Amino acid sequence: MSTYILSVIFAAVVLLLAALISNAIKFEGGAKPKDPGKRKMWFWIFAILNPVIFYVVAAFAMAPVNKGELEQWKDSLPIAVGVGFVVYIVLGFVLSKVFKNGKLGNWF
Amino acid sequence: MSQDKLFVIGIGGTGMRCLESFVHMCAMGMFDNKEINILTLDTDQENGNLKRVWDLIDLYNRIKNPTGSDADAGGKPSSNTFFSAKLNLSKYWPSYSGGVNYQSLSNVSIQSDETKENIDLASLFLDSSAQTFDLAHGYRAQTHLGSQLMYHSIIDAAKNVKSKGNGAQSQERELLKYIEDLIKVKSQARVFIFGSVFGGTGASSIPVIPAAFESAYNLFKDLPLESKSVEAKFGASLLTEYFKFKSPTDAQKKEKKNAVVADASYFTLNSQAALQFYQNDPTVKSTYKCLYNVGWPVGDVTDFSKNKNEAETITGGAAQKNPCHVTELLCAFAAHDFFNRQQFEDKEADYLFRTVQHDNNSFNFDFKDFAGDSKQFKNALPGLYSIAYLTLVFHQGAENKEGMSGWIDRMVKMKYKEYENVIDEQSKKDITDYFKSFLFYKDSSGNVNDGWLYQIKNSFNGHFILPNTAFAREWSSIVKINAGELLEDDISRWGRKKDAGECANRFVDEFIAMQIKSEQVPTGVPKEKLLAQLFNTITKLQNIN
Repeated sequence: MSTYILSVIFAAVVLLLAALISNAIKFEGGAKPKDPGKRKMWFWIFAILNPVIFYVVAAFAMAPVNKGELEQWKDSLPIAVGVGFVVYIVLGFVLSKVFKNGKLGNWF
Repeated sequence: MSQDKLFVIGIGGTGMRCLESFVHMCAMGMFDNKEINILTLDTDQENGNLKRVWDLIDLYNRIKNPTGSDADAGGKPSSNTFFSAKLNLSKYWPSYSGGVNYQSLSNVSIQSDETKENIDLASLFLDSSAQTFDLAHGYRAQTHLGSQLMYHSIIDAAKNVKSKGNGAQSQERELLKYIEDLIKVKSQARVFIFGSVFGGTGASSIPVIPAAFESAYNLFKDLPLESKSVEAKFGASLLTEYFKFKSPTDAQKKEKKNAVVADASYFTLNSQAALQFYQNDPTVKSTYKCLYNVGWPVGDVTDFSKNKNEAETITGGAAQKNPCHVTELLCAFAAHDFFNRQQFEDKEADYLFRTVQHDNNSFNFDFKDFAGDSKQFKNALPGLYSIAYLTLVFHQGAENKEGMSGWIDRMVKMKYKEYENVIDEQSKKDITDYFKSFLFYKDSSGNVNDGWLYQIKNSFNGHFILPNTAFAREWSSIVKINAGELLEDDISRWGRKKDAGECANRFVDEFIAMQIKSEQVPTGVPKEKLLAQLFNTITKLQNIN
């Protein structure tokens, strides 16, 4: 259960990081501004990094020592990673719609 | 504002610059729901200031034109938006090209028994040099000559249109149509005249225009010459000395065509004499309803020849393209007052003036110095400044690019597609070009050139309405201006702790939610809607109380 919770927490932290970077990207003036594209790009970069990093960190630092638990954990890890990914996307979508005319609005 | 029909006449170089300020006021939205008939009257059709105001009105009318076709020229009057007034431009200039002078024009150079008396009479009032200088560059401060010539030029125009019809010159037909339109609406016409009283063309023409229009109309319509056909209410600005230029050299004065050259050293004297005339002349007092005295501290006048390498006095032509001055904006506001006035004195002209704080050779101009307690002006000037600034700086319109696409693309990125692909490129370029003429632009060398508002600010020492930082001259300082921090009241400062990009985004955020009303967009075309929505957005953000 803790793996799922950690995955969700990790997704939220990565999302926060994506939000901070998106906010740090300045608005560009003139025709065809590129800043919305940059924010969207960083959102999806973190969307990919989120499960990859969580999987790697979990595999090396969170694996249980007990063999029986390990098998069970190995079964649940991909699901936890998937949950984290879905949470990242859903939360990102919600934030994008809440701040639809702000910088986060460029995510979707 | 009253329902009277409005007419504006700009005369001479100064009159053209006053007109320029007036047109910028129209662009700000200071003359809602008004159709204004403008007449430019100058002896010198090559004059740089005349061309500049023609170009400005042409640009204004292209922006107002809903379809781009001649049939829709100038669009329709609207309210609560930028470019709300409809402007109709008429042009008139006496034909003085080809070395024309007083003698050749009035035939007094032909010696005969028939003309002898005329020659004697002319010689009594005009010395030989005044009768022989080239009139192509105007009346050169010879107002006694100028008044006579301008009056007769208008009469001759009426004679030509009457006898030749469409064969008359286009400027003569335009003048007669303007006079007819003015007389047709009888006492509902309000006519305001811009011009200086210390120079040549304006000073010569202001006193005679009402009488000349009446005589021309009577002649054209076969009415008795003494008929009182003009019932319009006339107003004028009496603009005294506020600039000087290089005095003529002896070598220049030795040339026959330049035997008479306007000498700025006489402008103070000219101003004094003119004011005495306007104060006492019974015809002027009975013809004009309001005369607005606009003056400037003696000895502190703007030098138009400064930083210019002029070998001799510029008497006119394309080279006479001087920057705008704050007195001209005051004259434009005199017209605003005249057009908004509810009551007039019955018998004699009302002489009006207003004073402005002036300490240690420094002025402190505030909104109220121009328009009293007008919330309209307090909203319009910084509002147009903010939008123009963001278009030119943030959306890069100042750099030989078109800046309006920046706004529209930003809206599209924020999922607001109302204006995507519906406004043609020429219209977007025209609006950007207007903003350049209003604020500033960068030339190909990267130098910042002053637009109208910058010229006004730089025409004197001191404070001009907005913070001094809003008139930075260096590009590195200009990019740091905060377009949302132009007003003093906290409630009107919408750009706090924001850079230009954040201001622009905040603006678009409000813009998207903004509704427009039908009276703001009488033609209903996207360009007009865009301008109205820009106006509504800045009005909400500035929240003027």
